[in-house]
Amino acid sequence: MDWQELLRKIEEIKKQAAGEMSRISEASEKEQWRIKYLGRKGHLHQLTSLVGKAPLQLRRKLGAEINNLKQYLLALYQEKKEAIRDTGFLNVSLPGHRVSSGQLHPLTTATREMVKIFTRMGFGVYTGPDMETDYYNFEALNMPANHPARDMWDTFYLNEEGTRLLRTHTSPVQIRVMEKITPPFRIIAVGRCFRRDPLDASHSPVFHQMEGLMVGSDICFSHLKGILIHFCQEFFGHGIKVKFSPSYFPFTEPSAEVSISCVICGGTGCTTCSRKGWLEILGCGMVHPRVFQAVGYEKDKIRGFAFGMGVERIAMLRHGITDIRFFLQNDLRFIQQVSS
Amino acid sequence: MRYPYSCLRQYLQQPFSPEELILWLDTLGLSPQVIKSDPEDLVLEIETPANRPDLLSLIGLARAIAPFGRLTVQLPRCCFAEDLQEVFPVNIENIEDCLYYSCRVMRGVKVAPSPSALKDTVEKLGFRSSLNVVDLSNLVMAETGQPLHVFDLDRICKKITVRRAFSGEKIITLDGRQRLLDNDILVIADEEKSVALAGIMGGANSEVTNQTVNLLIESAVFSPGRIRRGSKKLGLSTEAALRFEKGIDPQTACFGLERLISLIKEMAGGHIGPVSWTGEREKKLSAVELDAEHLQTFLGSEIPGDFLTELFSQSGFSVTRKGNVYQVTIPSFRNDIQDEVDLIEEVAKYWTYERIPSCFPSVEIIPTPTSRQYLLLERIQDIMMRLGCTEVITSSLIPEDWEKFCPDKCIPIVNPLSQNASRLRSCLIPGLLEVVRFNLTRGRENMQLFELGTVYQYQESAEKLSLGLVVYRDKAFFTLKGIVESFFAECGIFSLEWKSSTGCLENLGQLVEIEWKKGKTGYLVLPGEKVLKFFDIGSAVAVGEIFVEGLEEQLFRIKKFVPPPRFPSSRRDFSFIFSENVVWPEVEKILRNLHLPVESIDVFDTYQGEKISPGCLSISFSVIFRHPERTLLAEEVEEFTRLIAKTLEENFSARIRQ
Repeated sequence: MDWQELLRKIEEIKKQAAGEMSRISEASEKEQWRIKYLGRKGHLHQLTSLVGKAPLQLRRKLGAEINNLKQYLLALYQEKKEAIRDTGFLNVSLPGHRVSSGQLHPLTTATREMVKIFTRMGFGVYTGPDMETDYYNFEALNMPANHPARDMWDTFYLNEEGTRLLRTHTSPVQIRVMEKITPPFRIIAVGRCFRRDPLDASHSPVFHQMEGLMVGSDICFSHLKGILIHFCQEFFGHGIKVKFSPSYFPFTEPSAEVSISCVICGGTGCTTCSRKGWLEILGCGMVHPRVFQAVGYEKDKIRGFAFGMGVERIAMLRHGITDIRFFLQNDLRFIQQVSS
Repeated sequence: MRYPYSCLRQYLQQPFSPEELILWLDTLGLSPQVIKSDPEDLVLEIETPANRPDLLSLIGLARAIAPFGRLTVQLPRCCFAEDLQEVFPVNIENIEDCLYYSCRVMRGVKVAPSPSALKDTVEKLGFRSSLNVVDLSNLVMAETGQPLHVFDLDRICKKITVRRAFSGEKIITLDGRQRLLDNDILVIADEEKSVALAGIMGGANSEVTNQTVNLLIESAVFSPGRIRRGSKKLGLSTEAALRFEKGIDPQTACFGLERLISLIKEMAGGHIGPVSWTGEREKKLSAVELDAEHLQTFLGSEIPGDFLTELFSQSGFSVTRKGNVYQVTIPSFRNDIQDEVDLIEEVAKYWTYERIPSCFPSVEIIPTPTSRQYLLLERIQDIMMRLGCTEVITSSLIPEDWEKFCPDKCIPIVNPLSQNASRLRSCLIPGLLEVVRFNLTRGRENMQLFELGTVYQYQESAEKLSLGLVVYRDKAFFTLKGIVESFFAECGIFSLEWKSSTGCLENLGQLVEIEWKKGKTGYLVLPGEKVLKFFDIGSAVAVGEIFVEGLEEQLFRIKKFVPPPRFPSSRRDFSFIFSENVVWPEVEKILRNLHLPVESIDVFDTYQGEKISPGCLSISFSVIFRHPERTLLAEEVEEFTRLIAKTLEENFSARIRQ
């Protein structure tokens, strides 16, 4: 073997050993590597045995090269030894030990996410009582006694006279807030609502709403559109389309209903969207001047928009939940799946 | 009612396609639903808003779509001659209840079952076919929106009075049911009896039959509120009531009567008497001003003047313009338009919402604060989640037979849907036990749950926030107690008092009250047999409630930083056998009173069983010693340890467990 060839061979062993070592991740493999390179029948030993056969003038030089190689290999081995703990055989295919932690109810996580989108835009968060009076739930919202629009909300009453009731929407909070603070402001309200609708897959007599109200001197319908389109896209994804169509609520005018392109079929039509490609998700509009009048604002100088949406419905669409009854049933398998 | 395309087309001069019809109705937000679609016809249902009685008619809907296709509305013809002198006397007792009442006599009419063409039309409109004159009255209601009633003239005595019913008065309505009336309900009466529930349904005693030859045909405008009250009270909602409670105008009443008379004459002959009427026939048309500048600032979109003038004239509104201001006279059938905003909405709808640009408002940054109540919710939910509890949310409406498991009385619902949801919960306990039951039957084993919800107080007629807790597992009580202690520790409260002496709630079980600063701040319950049996739960359960509203200050306190101690601590573990009714807080108190440099005393194990004498309890606890200014010497700690052992022996006759 000539000198040049020997040097090449040493280089080759260096390269090969380093390459193999870099792929090693277990203690047992590391030992095999040691035997292959540093063991009694290993590469290093074989080279050392060549020293005696080499011509005298080269022995020193060769010895030095082999020693270099040995140091290099030992360093590689040491480095790996420090990296891998030698704990015997570790079967990493076995399952990890799961950590169980508490979780929030899907209604809470949905509410928080919705709240976050609006608070990022500077909206404050308010709450109000579940037990309301006829005045806050209907009258102040431009629905005097015997107004036919009251039929839109079937109501649970707490007294025979019908003056005390369970709120049918979170809109009374609008009135309560406006009685307390002066414009301009922007708020949302979250809470529990009650309607005398028999329980089925899409109706629940007890449900939750989020309400919004922005009031100032130059608020217009375009702003309502801007804010709500932003909300829908933040919540459902930026790919969705948002549609506004006319609707009727006694406390807003013009009133609108907001639909998003179906989150299930993408707008081509399926059972969720009744083959329409659109899903109604919230009602909104410009606050009716008579509502401002009821709270003592100067109705000609103040304008605002309001909106309201069902938290359950929004969460159902987002997570593909098919039955509203899941929410108050509290099957822990449901809570743990949907909660994030 | 239903809207057949074939019928609708008759009221518009120019043609339009069924597809256009659906598109226009969609644009108006009327959510058209296709009921029937075949090559011959398209039948739709729509969602009419509560303020648009005019849309409950074919002519009204024709008017609504006309501006989209620049179509011209044509009203059906009324063509007949009066050939009787007979004016039937009519009287309104209170004009507030009935604005206008009119009728005509027809004699010699051939009442018979409807011919098939009429029958088909009426059925297509969504009504049940009956005798020809009745079907025609329904047809005219569908056309014009005016409910009309046909009486058998010979069964009506002398005159018509519109009056309130007497208390206890009875009438059998056309549906064959006897109705008990009172002073809230408006009736049509002759000299002897009530012959109809005004605006709601006719009476059987004056019903038209196939024997009838002489008719009295009524067209009126009743007070919307009065009809609504009556209809609600009787639980009787009819097509007529639906229209009256939203408001009808006298012009429609006049036109409806003429149209019906004309159709009856054409189909069934007969002689016609003049209109007898009372009340107010002419309604002054209201004018509403629309300022183009308001329109623009309200919508955020500039809408050309040409569009406005054309829309208004297409909709049958007459309009004059002075500069930027449009003076719009509202036709009587559009009682929904009263203010400028109503006109703004009208314009926005036809301009279409899609064409109004969307943008963000530019506002001054004036912080709108978030209410403490909401922040409190989030804070507590986060703490409980950290403590390993999963949140549940249960209904506020609970069954009647759960009330006995609440420590306080519950507020009843006046009109519940069922007994299963007829009370407002006054505590969260039964709801939580139901969640445990539900999940146990689905194979769940261990549970640590919380609910942060409103409870409703009967006495104060108020509501408050409560934190309910339930633990289902081994050693449930101490797990729950630990969760409660950790929760209060998060609030910075370490001085709770646990009062087990407060006894037992009859239906619920053993009660342990939690006090903080001498006030009741919650309670735990070890449920008894009765409640466990009711909810079908094993005994490994403990529940409780914390009244979080008093803790607000604590939860929002700003924590002050104390530098960590500089000198090391020494820990010693002890195992002592006490009498089983030892009161642990007292043990702790006595040890603290030794004034040793003790940082903490923590129980880490207890034992009761074969290895120690009966009636005894072994408690293992650790004590951490630390001096603030120096490192303690080993000999000092040994001395403390001996002192502690001696104190426990002397005060509690406790023995070191070997």
